[in-house]
Amino acid sequence: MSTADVAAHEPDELLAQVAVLLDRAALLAWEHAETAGAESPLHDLGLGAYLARGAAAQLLTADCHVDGPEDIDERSVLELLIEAESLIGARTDFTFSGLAVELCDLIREARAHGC
Amino acid sequence: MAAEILALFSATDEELFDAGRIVHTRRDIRTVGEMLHDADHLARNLLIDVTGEDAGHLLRSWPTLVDAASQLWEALPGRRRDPAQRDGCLNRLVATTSTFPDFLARPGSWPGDGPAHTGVGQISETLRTVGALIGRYGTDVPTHQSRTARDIDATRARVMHTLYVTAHAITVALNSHGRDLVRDSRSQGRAIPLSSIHTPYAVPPTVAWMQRAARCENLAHNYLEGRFATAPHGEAVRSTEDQDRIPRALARWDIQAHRTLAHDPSPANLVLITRSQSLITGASITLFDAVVHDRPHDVDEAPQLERARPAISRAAASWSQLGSRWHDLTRPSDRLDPALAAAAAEVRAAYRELTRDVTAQASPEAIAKRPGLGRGFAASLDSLEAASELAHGVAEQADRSDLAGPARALSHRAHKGVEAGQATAGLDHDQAWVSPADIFAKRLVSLPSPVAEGLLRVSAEVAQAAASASAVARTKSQSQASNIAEPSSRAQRRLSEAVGLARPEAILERSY
Repeated sequence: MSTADVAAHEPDELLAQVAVLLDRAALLAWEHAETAGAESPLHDLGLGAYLARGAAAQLLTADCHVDGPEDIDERSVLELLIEAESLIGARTDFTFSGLAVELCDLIREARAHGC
Repeated sequence: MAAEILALFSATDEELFDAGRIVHTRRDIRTVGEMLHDADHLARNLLIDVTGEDAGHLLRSWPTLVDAASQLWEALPGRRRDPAQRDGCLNRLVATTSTFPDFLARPGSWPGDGPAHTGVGQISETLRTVGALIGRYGTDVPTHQSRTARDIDATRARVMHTLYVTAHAITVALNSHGRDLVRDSRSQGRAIPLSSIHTPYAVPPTVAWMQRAARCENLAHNYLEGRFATAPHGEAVRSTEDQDRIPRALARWDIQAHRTLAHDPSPANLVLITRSQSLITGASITLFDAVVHDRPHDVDEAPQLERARPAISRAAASWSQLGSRWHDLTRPSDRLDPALAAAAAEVRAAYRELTRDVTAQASPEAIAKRPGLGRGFAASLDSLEAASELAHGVAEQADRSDLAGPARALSHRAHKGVEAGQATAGLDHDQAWVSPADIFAKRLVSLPSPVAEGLLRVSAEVAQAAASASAVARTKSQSQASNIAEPSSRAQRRLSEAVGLARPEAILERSY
C-alpha cells in the first residue's frame, strides 16, 4: 500500500487495520512465549503489542467495531508490527498520539528477538 | 462507582474554588515535569515531520502557543529576582507575536483563515495545563531554596526551548513552502527570482513571515544561548536509583486490577489482567535468579527455593493460558480501561528497567548489580501472594451467563477443545458448535459448551496454581524479607509499610 493510499483512508478505517495487526502481533508473540517458557521476554513483547492495540482502539470512534481477520495471517510478529507502523507513520495526524513511537520500540524489540 | 466519586469531588472543588482556576486532572495524571518534557518532545517531533503544507497551520497556531508559554511563565513562582534579565526575551517574543493575528486576519493575505496545527495545539494545551497547575499549587513551593530556584530556571529553559524548536519548525516549513512555490512556478513556465536574503526560497508571500518567524527564533535563541546546556541539570528529577518503582507499580496494579474487575470486567480487560499477571509471575522468576546469583549466602534455603520454582512457573503458564481463552472473546476494536492499561504499562516498564538491556534480557549478573533488586523481588513475592485472591475474582467472571464472542474464534476454539479431548463432544462428532450463518455474518454469539467448559476449567486451574504460588511466596516472603532487603532500606521499608505502600492488601483495605 502506497503512502497516497494510506492518506486517502478514513481515520477509523486506518486505525481499525492497525488494531487488527497489533492484536494479531500480540497473540502471535504470546504463542511464541508460551512455547519458550514463563521467563521468555516475548511475554513482555506481547503485552506491549496488546497495549498498543488498546491505544489504537481508543482512537477509534465509539461505534466502530472491527472483527478479526478471516484468513490465517502467516506473517511474523515483526512483519505485522512493521505493517502497522507503516500505516500510522504515513499519517501526520497520528504522529502525536505516541503510538508511532511505541510501535518503533516494539519493532526494534521484535527484530532483536528474531520473531 | 469510582468515576462517580471523582465527579463528586470535582463538583465540591468547583464550589470551593474559582472555577476558572480549577485544573481538571482526572484524565491527565502527568506531573508538571512530565508535561514539560512532553511539550519539548512534541516540538522536536514537529521539526522532524514538518513540510511546506504545514506552514500556514503553524503560523496560525503560533500566537496561541506563545500565549500559553507566557501564562506559564507568569505563573512561575520567585519572579521577584532579576525580572528584566529573565523576562526580557519572552516579553519581546510576546510583543513580536502580537502582530501575527492582525497579519493573519488581513483579507486576501496568505495564509488566511484555516485550521490550526494539531501538534502545536497539543503543545499549547500542555503548556496551558502546566501553567494552571503551577498557578494553583506553585505558591507552596519553597523558592528560597537553591534547589527549587534551579528547578524553576530549568523550567524556563525548557519552555523557551519548546518555543525555539517550534519557531525553527515554522522557519523550515516556510522555506519548504517557498521551494514548493518556486518549483510550481517553474513547471508552469513562470520563473520566480530567488531571494538573496535569508534563504533563496524567501519568495512572496512568505518573505515577511520568514522575517517574523526568524525574529521569534532568534529571540528564543538569545535566551537559551549558553543556558540550555546547563539549566536542565537543575531539574528536579526522580532519582535514577529509584528502588521503589516495582513496589509502587505493583501496588497500583493490584488496586487497579481489582477495581476494573469490579466495574468493567470485559473480556479485553480480562486479557490484560491475565497477561499482566503472567508477566509479573515470569519476571519474579527472573528476579529470583538474580537474587540467588547476587547473594547465595543469604539464600540459605536454596534447594527449597528451587522446589518453589515449578509452582511459580506453573502459575505463569496458567495465567497465560487463561489469557488466550479470554482473547477468543475479544474483537480488535474492544477498548481497554485506560487506568488499567496505564497501570499495566507501568508494571511492564518497571520490570523492563530492572531486567532488560535495551532490547535483550539482561543476565542475572547484570540484574544483580542494579539498584532496587531486593525491594523489587520482595514486592514481586507480595504480588504473587496477593494474586491468589485476584485469580478467584477472575475465575468468577468465567461463570457469567452474558459472555459472548466472535463466532469464528469461538467455533475454532470449540473444535480445538473437542479434538484435544479437553471438552465434552456432542453425540454427533461433526457437530457444528457455531452456526455457519453466524460465522459468515461475523456475529457475536454466546459461548458454545466446549468453550464455556474450557474457560471454567482453565480458570479453576489458574486459581489452583495461583494458590500454590501464593503459598510458596508467603513462605519465601517471610523468610527472605529480612535477608534480601538492603540494610540501608529497612527503615524505608518500615516507613512504606506504615503508609501502606509495601503491602498492597493494606492499600486495598484502605481504598474500599
